[in-house]
Amino acid sequence: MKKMLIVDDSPSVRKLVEFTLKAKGFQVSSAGDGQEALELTAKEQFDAIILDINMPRMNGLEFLQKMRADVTYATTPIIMLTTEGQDEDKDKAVALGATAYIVKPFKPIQLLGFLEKIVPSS
Amino acid sequence: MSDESNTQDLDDLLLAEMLQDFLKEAPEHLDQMNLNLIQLQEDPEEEELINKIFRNVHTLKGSASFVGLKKINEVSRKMEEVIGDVRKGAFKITAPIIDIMYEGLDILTTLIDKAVTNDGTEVDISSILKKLDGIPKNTIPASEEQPDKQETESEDSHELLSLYKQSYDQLSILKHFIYSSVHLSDRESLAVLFSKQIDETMDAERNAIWLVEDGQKVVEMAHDGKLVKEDNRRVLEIESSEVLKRVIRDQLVVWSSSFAQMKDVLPEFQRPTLFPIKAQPHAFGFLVVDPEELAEVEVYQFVGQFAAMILNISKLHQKVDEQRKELNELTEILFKQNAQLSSLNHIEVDLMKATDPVHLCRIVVEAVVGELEARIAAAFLIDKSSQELIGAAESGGFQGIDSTRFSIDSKKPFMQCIESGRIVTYRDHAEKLHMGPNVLENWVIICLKGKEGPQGVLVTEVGDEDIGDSISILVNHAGILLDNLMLQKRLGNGIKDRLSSQ
Repeated sequence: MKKMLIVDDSPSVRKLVEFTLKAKGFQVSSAGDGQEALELTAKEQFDAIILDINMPRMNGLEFLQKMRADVTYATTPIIMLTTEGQDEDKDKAVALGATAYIVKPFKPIQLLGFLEKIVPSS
Repeated sequence: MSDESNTQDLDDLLLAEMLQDFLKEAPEHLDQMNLNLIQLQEDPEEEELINKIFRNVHTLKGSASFVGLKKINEVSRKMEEVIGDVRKGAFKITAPIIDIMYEGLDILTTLIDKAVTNDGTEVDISSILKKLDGIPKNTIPASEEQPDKQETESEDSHELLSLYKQSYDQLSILKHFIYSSVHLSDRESLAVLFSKQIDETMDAERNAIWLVEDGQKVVEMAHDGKLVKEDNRRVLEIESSEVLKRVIRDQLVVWSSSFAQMKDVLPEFQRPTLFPIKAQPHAFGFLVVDPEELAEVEVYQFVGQFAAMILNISKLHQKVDEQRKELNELTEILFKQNAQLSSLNHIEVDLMKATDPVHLCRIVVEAVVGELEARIAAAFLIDKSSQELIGAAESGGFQGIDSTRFSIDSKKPFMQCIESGRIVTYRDHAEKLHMGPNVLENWVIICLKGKEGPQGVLVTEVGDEDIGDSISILVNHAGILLDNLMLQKRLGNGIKDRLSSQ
């Protein structure tokens, strides 16, 4: 079973993503910010990460940077969740090695469409 | 309870339907029995014929009891006993026995006719029952001898066969359990239903259903088809009794003959047998009956298994309910997000009407408190020349905004936010934020920044962490518009300067 990690400070978004992915048979862990996510990635290898940008403590861009510097996560698909108007952050994220980004608010089916391409569930 | 009345309706409906089926089929069985009896007269030793007649009366007996036709059940049961004894070799068919069987057949025909035509007049069955009871004592011709011991072996196998067939037949009764119980999801109703079915369709004199609660206790939920009221329910600790440990923990059938302590546990039963309602890792509970016939043991085991199955289904029902709840919750989240989004849309329209930076700040803080339900919000603009933050607008009761002015590097969270451009919250610095007379607990500081870099900051206290995204969308827009306003202002100033210099 593929293991996913959702990192977002909004409980609703975490819940929404968790529910969507679990229904598709993924195993899902969640973290409220980059710091918390870092603790999880140190313990477990995830197959893909869905990552919010605006977060307290450690934001998505900082976390992304740390991931790309880590051998075990250098090529792991990371999908960024950005809010409308954050063009600058989008560009930064892509430059730092994000695989794709989705603009919030998104529909669960959009996320699945992305994942289908990036992480084939079979 | 609506569930109970539904069950009642369903039961009645099923019974009415089954009664119709029975009345349609019964004459067929009677005709066949008639034919078989005629042939038996010719050939009284023919085993196959005896078996056929046995099946005829057996089916009638079973179905009649199920649809509540007591007299038909009684007569056919007696007839079955007679033929059963013949099958076992206890005695042989004689002319007087065939006569009595014919008489029984006549009575059955009359009873069924009356049931079909709904004729309520009484039919006396006492005399035929007496005659059937008198077989073979009153029907043995003086010259005939009792069968000798040589036949013991075939007697055993016959008995086994008949036991097997009887159990098999009773299994069909169990189908009814499934029909009438799959829609139920609460344990109480299920326990009552099982108990009722056993009470009505099986021969046991008494029965009870006990279910496990909290993993440590068993509670008497129903007995003899009736619910035990909550206040009157007996509760037993599983660990307190070998009997209970055996039936619940080991999931084994427990016989009264092998456990002397049974009397202490269930004093109201004569010779109780306990059947586990098996489940993983421990039984759901047990079914206890005072069995009359050993033959029914297997059937009760099946009942236990059916009960477990149905209880499992009821657990699934609960799970489905939970998931439905979760789904509702998610729908609510989506609705909430949509609502926030649509309010954001009209705030954005308002933002575009802003004529100067302070006006824009006012629209932002009012929207954050009014639409996004933050408790309090204040916006500050950066004075580039003095590297100070100057209070621009507040909402939600921020005190003294007009006179609030401080240097960026005097407050660390603000400095951090402006330098990194990222959101800084109470989770970065686990302390309250003091600003003059204002104390903010769950504070969030977001940078108002456009292409030209940070122009200001928004400070707010959120009650609901879910508004973070909406606030940042709002702030992103505000930042860009702020850029535009600054540009316009500079442009305006530039033109003014140029005009004045001319």
